[in-house]
Amino acid sequence: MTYVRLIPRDPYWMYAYWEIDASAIEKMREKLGETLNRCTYTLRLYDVTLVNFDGTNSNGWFDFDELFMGSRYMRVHHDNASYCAAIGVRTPEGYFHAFARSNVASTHPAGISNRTELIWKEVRSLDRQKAFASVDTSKMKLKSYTLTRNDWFLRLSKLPLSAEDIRDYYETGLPLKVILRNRLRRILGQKHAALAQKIEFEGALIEELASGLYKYKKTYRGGTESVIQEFMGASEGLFFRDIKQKKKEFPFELEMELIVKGKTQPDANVYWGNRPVKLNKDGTFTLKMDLNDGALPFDFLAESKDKSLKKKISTSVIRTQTQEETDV
Amino acid sequence: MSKGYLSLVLHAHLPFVYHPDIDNMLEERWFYEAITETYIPLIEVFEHLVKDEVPFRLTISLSAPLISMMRNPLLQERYLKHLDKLIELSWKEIDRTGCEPHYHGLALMYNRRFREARELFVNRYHKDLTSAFKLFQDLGYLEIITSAATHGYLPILNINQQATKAQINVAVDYYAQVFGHPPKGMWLPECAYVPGLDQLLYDAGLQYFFLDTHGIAHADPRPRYHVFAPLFCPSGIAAFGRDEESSKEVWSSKEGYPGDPDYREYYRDLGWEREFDYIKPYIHPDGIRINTGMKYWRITGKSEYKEAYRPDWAQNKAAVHAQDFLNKRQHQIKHLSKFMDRKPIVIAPYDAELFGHWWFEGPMWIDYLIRKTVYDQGIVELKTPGDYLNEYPTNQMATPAASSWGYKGFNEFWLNEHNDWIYRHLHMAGDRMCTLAGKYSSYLKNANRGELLYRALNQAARELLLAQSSDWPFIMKTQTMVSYAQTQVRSHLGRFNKLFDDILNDRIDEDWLKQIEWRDDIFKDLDCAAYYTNLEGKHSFLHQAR
Repeated sequence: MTYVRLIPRDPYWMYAYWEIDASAIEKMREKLGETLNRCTYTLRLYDVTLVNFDGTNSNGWFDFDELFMGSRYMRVHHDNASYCAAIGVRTPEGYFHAFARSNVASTHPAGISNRTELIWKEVRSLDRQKAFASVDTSKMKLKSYTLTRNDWFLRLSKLPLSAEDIRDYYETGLPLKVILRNRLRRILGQKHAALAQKIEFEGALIEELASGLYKYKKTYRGGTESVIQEFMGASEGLFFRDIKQKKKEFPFELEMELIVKGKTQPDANVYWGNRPVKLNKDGTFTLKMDLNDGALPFDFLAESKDKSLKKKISTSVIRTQTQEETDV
Repeated sequence: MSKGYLSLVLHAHLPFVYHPDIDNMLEERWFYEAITETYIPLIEVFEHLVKDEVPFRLTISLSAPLISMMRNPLLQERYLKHLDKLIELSWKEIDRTGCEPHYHGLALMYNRRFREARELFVNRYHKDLTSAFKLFQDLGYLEIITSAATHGYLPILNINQQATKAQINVAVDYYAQVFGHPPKGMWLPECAYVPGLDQLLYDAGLQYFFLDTHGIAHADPRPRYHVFAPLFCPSGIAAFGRDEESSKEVWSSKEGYPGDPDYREYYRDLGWEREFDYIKPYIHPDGIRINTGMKYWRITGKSEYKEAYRPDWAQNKAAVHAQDFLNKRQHQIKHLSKFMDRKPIVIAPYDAELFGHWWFEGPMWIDYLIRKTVYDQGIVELKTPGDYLNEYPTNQMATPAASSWGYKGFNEFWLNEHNDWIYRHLHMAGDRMCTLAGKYSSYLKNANRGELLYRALNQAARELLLAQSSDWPFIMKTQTMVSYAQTQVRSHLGRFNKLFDDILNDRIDEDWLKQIEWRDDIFKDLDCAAYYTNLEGKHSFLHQAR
């Protein structure tokens, strides 16, 4: 039997074992003739990270010229990378002829992932599961849009992901926003070719999910509702109205802070939602926070030390802003 | 209302060591010692908690080889003999230590413990300890999960995916046979994971598995809540990560609780301390000194000087350490809950054999910890991973990183110059088993269980499974009982290869087959060969469910 197999040991070491039988060498002799006597037996390790390897399209390779022992450990350069080994001979001219090729094996990741997209999955049973991307609105800056009552739900919106999206996410290594952009392009390309041409995807949507909801909304508002529903999933509460072309960048933005002050008995307990609030010695407290666009509800609960008295105060703050941009 | 959860997970596993043809096999004592020192004390803790109506939840993984041994009648009888010898030794020790108050009290303690163990083993659970664990699961206290069929190191076996599937599906079906329903979770042997394994686990109907900390921390994309909430793999199965902090407090020989000077010293045993003629009937018949389980000294300090063990001091220390552990979890959970949109879960997994066998006071510590968690505070609540997934069915999705909980966190302990030679043969045998199963797949579908070919095919699958145990490369690396581990791998592979040749050449030796069926008596009610086809076990839970 002639074979080679590859096993990762850790992020930077691979182990391979192999066997070459006499018939494989005879076949090679038939192919190369006397040249075989001048060839070097070698193990070629291909870097096939994110590649559907066909023998010719690796990211690179290096040779280990000792095949007499039947197995060896090999130091590799990259953690979290995929490799494929081939055993064969290298001619004096540098051509490589393989006896056998191994399985693809990946080295272990040595550190945390660079990708930070937040993808969620709901699994109710073996048959009921759905994946979705959550739009993180905590740092969202809405620059030219006033949030309406409906828009508040955008903060909770879920962007359904298909099995194909997830497969692409892992097989291509692309950021999720690129995968999603490609999907929308595919959908629009099939059914709304004219509309697809109008939307400036490059630059616009690609950065939308990373920087917040704003551009993401602006781009998707260009879609018709049927497109949106196909893309988003029918149950998602998103509404899209207008398309805006990408503008030249001219940075100008406002940050706002909100200060909340309160007072109660010094020994009482105060909670903002579920979080306890630290009181000063005189029973006063001050909270300071960023004020982003949108509605910010506040539910405060004060509880006396012996827990016999409770008082709840609910209020909310809404920040809106409008912008005008003029191209001269 | 609690602010977060603590999930205690005990992984109980021993390799399948069964030699019906040899009395007093040294390695069989691993099993006997674990019964006396770990499994029975844990069962006693659970009994007391249930009797006191303490509402606790705990996860325990019972590996298939361990369950097989617990249910094996010959091993049950042999264990009873072993226990009777211990009781006899303890009576002799009571006489001998009559004028040494410290040691006399300890001899009495061991005598009581051994007699109580006998009472529990024989009268309460009729020699089958799996029935005890099943009882506590049925009462709603335990969540019993499974591990791979023979504890194979799956990332390396996965070169032949059908062999990995067989390790998983045999375990799931065997569990269902014993406990009457499929398991919710799986303890991956050595917490060893490689992306893709999750799909096989999900396909087997499992809901969750465990990883070491970096398996979650290095997941792609990056986990938002570190190990304090599970990740759903793209396949849909949940991965829970080990909390490093709580692990270290118990595991670490330097910083961990088990190294406290008041706890019992493991390495000073009567088997080594008493004069040879006196102890001879209670050690190996060949005169090899071994541990008896009776130990009279406490750790005392780092030197060789040891003082007498004081059970009351040790008990007090177990309570202190349980409180300390709980305090730390409270602080941890209080802190985490400020940053999370759900209750954090702290996964604290340990080898079950640590408790009682290595750390004598371990079961007592668990008892204290559970009672204190339930009654003395309101921040931490005990929860199993299955309970958590019921409460939080939506979690972040990411692919965990390939990892293990062994040395350096990767494959090195199971793949190094001491043991790498086995994988070539294991992979080859896996391929051969698939060849056999493919060739005879239609036969396996309708065969009669008594037919010779059917028996040979299934025994071949059993031999392969037994050769794949991760314990053998582990032992080879630790350089302890190397020749035994090497012999086991060689014997099982040798038997497999003979069966392979015999089957293909139509010359099955029935007498020899009968002998190895008797010797390697595991999973005898499962159609093991069918797991290497795409048919899966014809009597399997999975098969029936689908």
